[in-house]
Amino acid sequence: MTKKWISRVDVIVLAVLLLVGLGLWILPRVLPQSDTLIAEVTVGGETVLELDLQTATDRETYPLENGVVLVAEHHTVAVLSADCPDKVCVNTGALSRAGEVAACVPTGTVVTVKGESRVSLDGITY
Amino acid sequence: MFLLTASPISMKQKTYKIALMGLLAATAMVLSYLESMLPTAFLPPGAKPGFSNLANMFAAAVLGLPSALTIAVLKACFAGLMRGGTSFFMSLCGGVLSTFVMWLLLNKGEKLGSVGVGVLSAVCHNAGQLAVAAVLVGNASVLGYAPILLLCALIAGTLTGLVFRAVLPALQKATKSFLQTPKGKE
Amino acid sequence: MQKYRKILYGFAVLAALLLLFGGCAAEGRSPVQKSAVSMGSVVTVKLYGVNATDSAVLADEVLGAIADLDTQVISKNAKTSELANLNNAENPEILTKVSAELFSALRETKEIYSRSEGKAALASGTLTERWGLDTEDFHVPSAAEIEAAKPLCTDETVLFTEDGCVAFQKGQKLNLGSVGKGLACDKAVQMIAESGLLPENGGALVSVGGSLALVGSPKDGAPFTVGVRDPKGSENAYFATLSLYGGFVSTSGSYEKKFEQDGKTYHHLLDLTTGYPAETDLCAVTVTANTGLQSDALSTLCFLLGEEKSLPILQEYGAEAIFVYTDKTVHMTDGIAPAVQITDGTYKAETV
Repeated sequence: MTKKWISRVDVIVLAVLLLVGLGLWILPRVLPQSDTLIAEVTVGGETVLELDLQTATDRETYPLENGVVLVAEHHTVAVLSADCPDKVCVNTGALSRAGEVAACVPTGTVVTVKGESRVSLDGITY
Repeated sequence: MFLLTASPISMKQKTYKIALMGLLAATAMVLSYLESMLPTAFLPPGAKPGFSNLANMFAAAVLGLPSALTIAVLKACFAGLMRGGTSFFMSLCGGVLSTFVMWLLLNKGEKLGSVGVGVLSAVCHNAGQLAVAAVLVGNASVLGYAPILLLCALIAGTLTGLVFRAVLPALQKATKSFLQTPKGKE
Repeated sequence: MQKYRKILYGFAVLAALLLLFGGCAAEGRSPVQKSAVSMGSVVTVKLYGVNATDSAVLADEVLGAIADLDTQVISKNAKTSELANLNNAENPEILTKVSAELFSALRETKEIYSRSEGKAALASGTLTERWGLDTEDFHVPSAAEIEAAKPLCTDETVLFTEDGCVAFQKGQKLNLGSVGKGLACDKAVQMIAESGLLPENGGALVSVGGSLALVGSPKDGAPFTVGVRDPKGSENAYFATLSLYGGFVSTSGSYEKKFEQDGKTYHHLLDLTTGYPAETDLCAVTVTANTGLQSDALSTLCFLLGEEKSLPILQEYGAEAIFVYTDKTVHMTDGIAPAVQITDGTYKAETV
């Protein structure tokens, strides 16, 4: 068979997927940030840890039982180290926005940042 | 093996076919190994150049679906040996899905060029992997990786498709003698 | 391949626009914000509608001015502070001239606290020192210490003259700790107004350890949305929101600065008539007023006096208040009730 290098349909497919991809990528970045950012850590689907990123300022590490070590500082959370061959989770870097994820499939660990969709506050009095 | 029970082709052809499949499978593994050696620091997490899929594409184009799927399974086993059980499942699911789509598009997708096939199969590969990952970790949030993987699949798929189209004539010429030509199209 | 170039370019442009739009949209919403630590708390300056460079400069200036206000003028501990030196003077009975800024702060604080039936005073420093409240060295003083300190915590012996002088008894310590944040808010607003940088539709929000100053509007004439911290929740939990068009907001609560000793919990809002933390059903009072100092002083006053006695004083100063009780009931003055929305269902508003 002789195939074309690139056809009209190809371009349309590329363009559509590109827009979808960009749209999905941009979405969490333009939505107003919620005030409560909680990092939920699940292992095998069960929640093992919840971190309040709002109060996470100084560096603190959280070692999990399965060998994964998390680190939280400056309102972000990241996987510091893990006992897995690919280290995809470590390379994902720091999470700070609602919807961001870092996952380590071999250890079954997932760190998700959840934000509650609340009213966006200009300030808090206390 | 399918080849032995399939259409009436001569023993010589079957031998050549098996040999070619072996060659492609080996190529797949070598490419897979080389990919894993790439420094991952500059790539988004989970993204791969996807060159090992070239072997699948050639198999799907020239050898037929069963052979291509076999290569996909072998590649998954290789990944499993190199990087563990989870890699096996992810590679298997992604590989089988994308190989199937590849075969489908190469044979039935008249309107699509090589780039289209490459991109769509790359997207399917990622989709299959994400699905398995979600099941393995018990958390659907891994889909959060989807946007960035999608964007990477576009690039990787395009490159794979282009390379495929570039090398295909040479491959076809070399195997013309002992393979039935599948339904061709211009 | 030629034909498809146009399509590809077209989509590339579209994608680029999407990215640009997304980027701008994300930026346009957020004000320029800068924070620093001063007066033992986090100070944040947010400027809406001012360009980034000017905002950064102005915010830094405001933060610097607040830090200076603390260390140079009103701090009780800083060696460079005017108030500290005044308190440590050999003979405070002799009339001493003080800066206009300090003078007005001292005098107005005395005036507001004169309505507290002795529970609050400008000269509370002697007692707060015994409790270690100024140095974060919280501890329960002995009964003897408290009895000795109580008589020194009266403003009757604190005198002001029209030409800006002040005198008080030896052993007394003037304390602006409970109004410092409000003062900082006033200073911030003054500086922002003087800078002339705020456009017609711009705004500013300054937070000094939870005391807020609101100027203008964050967006197109809309009011500011301010959360009221949940006294029983974590730092960022709030139980209600306020929609405010400018003004000053302060909160006094027993949930901040608490310490435990021998199994008992003590908060930091001292009732000077007993010498101990005020015993009350209130756990927090939020006051909106016309100046930062007033909002800060009145919130302390309301907490110590209780709701009933505070109402006429609030009215006099044109201020409004939200009283939060330990049983999670909430009382609000009429002026502020419409602006309040309780978001935590466990808190119940009761009409006064």
